[in-house]
Amino acid sequence: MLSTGAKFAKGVDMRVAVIGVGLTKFGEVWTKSLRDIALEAGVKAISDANISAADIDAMFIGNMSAGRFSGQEHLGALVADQVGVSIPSTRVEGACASGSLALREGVSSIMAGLSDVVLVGGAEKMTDISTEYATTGLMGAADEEWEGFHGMTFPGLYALMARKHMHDFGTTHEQMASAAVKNHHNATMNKDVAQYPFEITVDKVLNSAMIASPLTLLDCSPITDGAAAIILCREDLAKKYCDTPVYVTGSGQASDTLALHDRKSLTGLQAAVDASRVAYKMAGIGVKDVDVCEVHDCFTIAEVMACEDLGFCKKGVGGKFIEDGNTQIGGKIPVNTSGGLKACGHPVGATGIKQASEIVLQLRGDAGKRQVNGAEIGMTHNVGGSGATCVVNIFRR
Amino acid sequence: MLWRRFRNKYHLIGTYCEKCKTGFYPPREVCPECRRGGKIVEKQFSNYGEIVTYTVVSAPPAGFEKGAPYALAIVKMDDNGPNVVGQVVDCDDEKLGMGLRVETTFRKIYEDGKEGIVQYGLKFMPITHENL
Amino acid sequence: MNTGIVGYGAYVPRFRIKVETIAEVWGKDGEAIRRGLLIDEKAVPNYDEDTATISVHAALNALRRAKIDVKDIGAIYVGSESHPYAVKPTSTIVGEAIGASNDYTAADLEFACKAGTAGFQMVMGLVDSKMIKYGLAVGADTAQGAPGNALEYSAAGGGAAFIVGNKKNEMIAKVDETYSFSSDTPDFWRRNLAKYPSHGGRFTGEPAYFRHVKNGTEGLLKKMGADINDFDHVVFHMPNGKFPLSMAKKFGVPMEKMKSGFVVQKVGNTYSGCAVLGLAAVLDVAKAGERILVTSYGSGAGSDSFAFTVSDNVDEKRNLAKTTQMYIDNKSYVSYPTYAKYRGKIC
Repeated sequence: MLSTGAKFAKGVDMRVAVIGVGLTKFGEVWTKSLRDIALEAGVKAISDANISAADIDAMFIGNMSAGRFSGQEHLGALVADQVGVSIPSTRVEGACASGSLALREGVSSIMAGLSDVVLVGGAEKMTDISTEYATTGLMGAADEEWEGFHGMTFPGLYALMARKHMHDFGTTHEQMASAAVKNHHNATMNKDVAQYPFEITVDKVLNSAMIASPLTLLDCSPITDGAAAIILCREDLAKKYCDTPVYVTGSGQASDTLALHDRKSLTGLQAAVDASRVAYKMAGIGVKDVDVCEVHDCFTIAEVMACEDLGFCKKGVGGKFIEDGNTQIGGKIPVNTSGGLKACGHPVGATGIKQASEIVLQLRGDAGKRQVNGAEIGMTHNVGGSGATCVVNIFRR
Repeated sequence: MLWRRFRNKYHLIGTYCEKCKTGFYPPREVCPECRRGGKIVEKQFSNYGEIVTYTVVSAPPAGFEKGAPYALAIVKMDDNGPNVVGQVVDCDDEKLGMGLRVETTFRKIYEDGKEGIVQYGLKFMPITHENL
Repeated sequence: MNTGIVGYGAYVPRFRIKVETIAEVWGKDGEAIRRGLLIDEKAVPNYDEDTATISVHAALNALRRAKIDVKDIGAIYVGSESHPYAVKPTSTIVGEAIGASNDYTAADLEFACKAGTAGFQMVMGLVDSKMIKYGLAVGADTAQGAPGNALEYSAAGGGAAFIVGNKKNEMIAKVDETYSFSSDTPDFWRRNLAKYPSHGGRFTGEPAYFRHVKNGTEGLLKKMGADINDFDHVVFHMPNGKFPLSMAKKFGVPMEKMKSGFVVQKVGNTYSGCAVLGLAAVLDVAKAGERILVTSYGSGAGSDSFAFTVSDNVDEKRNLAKTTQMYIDNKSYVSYPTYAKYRGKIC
């Protein structure tokens, strides 16, 4: 594969700030449609930034599958219509990484001088169709012609990686489960947003219904309705709107083969390794400088691999690293303080923006009971498909 | 429209870069390593291989309910062939595992509802008699 | 007549259900049914197997033995009463899956249980007239009996494929003669869109099976001026175990001549794949120079009768693919609910 654009990383001086965040409650939101939740998150972010809609120059909306899930395409126009603006509004799609891609588009727009203030959002309405059809729809993020064709599912793809990781490194199901237990615990401190803010145990994970062996129901992130939005603005304008801006200091994005079986490694995501290298370099930091991180734990094994791919621990020991408490709040590197995809919920297109929102709240010191003390640098790790797209964004107080 | 892929779906026919000696299944038209310098030819890979990793899916997508739970595996094909993904059928639960030797078997993959097209393709099954 | 089998192949699905298991569901005496039908168990196709997949496996085995260039196959006929499509040929699916050229003629055949042998005669004619070099004839079925019906104990899945050519040095068995006997006899049928077949009960015996198999066999013997005792192996269509054995008794054929092709006891009635599966099983064990008599039967009704002489290269070619016995031995039993699910009886 060709390199991932790391050559551009050095010397890029990011000059973008986040001045507002807005999140809907994640879960099965029966009373609200896609447009309702998209609008709600947008309005919350606009209020949080203390701006008016008229201040926004452009919008980028992350969404994976509104066409399949709600029969609605043309999301950019839908959101502009709901907000009541006539500015450029564009949908961005990169499967479960759609949100972070939207964020990168917003950053690019400001860096290019096309916009001063940008709303980037993500929304997904997933519960209006049956679980079987949602499973089929989500497989659109993998290789439909060569994986979906065989009855492959997303839990199935990650199960293939989990089995290999267990085989190659001795990772245990208990270790993987400890990530879910920790994330559920964190979600209890994020009740306003989290879909499942309750405690679970390792035993519960191990004994829940089998979905794709070795992964059980509680190894998997849920099907979720939800939306998130953040307001980006030119760094030099940030203080005009906000006393506590948070800055985007690094962003890396990388691609890998669409199909899992085509990859050299089945126990890690090369795109995550590549994207994080670019982001670290751009931000001028090392992994040890990261105080808090939201990773893409669509399945417990994904969090194990993320810890390894991002460099929090050595290859192969991610399971033990999590089990030993290193990723708890108060641990070496707190991971998924929001509850992660597992317990906060995973409205696919919104996830990247929700991750960014959580990091912004942490860096502002607004994370309440789940606050990581003195957090100055935060990071998000957002994966599309089984690792075909990965975006790593770095933020600083 | 999978009709255009029948040749590849019914047989393990992919492509091969003669320069770096790498096999691709599904077929690739451009070698990711050699780029335009590669030489891509069509290749029939071995129908035998070994399970690299596997899972048993209990929560199937729409259209696959009847077979559930079913096993899916990534199989490394013999003679330095590519990794191929597919279901594993006619295999006892206790036999399914890493390293199991399997061969391809022509099966129905799914039906487009009761009135739609029946899709066929290759799955894997344990080798019962080597070389037969 | 200058044609012969240059390659043959069998396929039997891996799953079995015991006659007792079915009987238990319907409150019947399984042991009595087993003894009455002379069927112990029947082959059950997996949920992802149908006439097309069974045909492909049998045809691939036939190709391995034939050792010919698949591109030289000029005709493909698949006989079955359970083609996956009402309109859209199984035979072209088989052609694509075995890697045939596009230079062949093809059609699907239906004549109850004898569509496989009908296809065999058709490719014989095409080869003998030199219209084609080689022809592929397949008989395969995923037969179904309605739940609780007498047919449910016997209706099974399986099939066999034959590549017919005219080069003596390639033949596994030469065709010496063939003869068919047909009449309009409504003993067993399935109307369009009906899921399961219907039958005339005891009418399926004397005026149907026995009349046609007898006349078919006698017609063949008369045509070639032979005596049934000239044959070393005899296969009569096996709707159950009882019918072919009582036919053999009437002809005075001893059990040891019936044994090699008597697959019904462990496989069931594979309909269009039945007599041909018996022939494949005989070829797995027959010695060079031995003579084989096969008479199929298809309801509706008709019998195709064949006489073969086994060639010298049978020993070398039979080991090039899985034998019928290998398939019969590789088995795993399923419960009635699993069988009902696999065969689409409940969904």
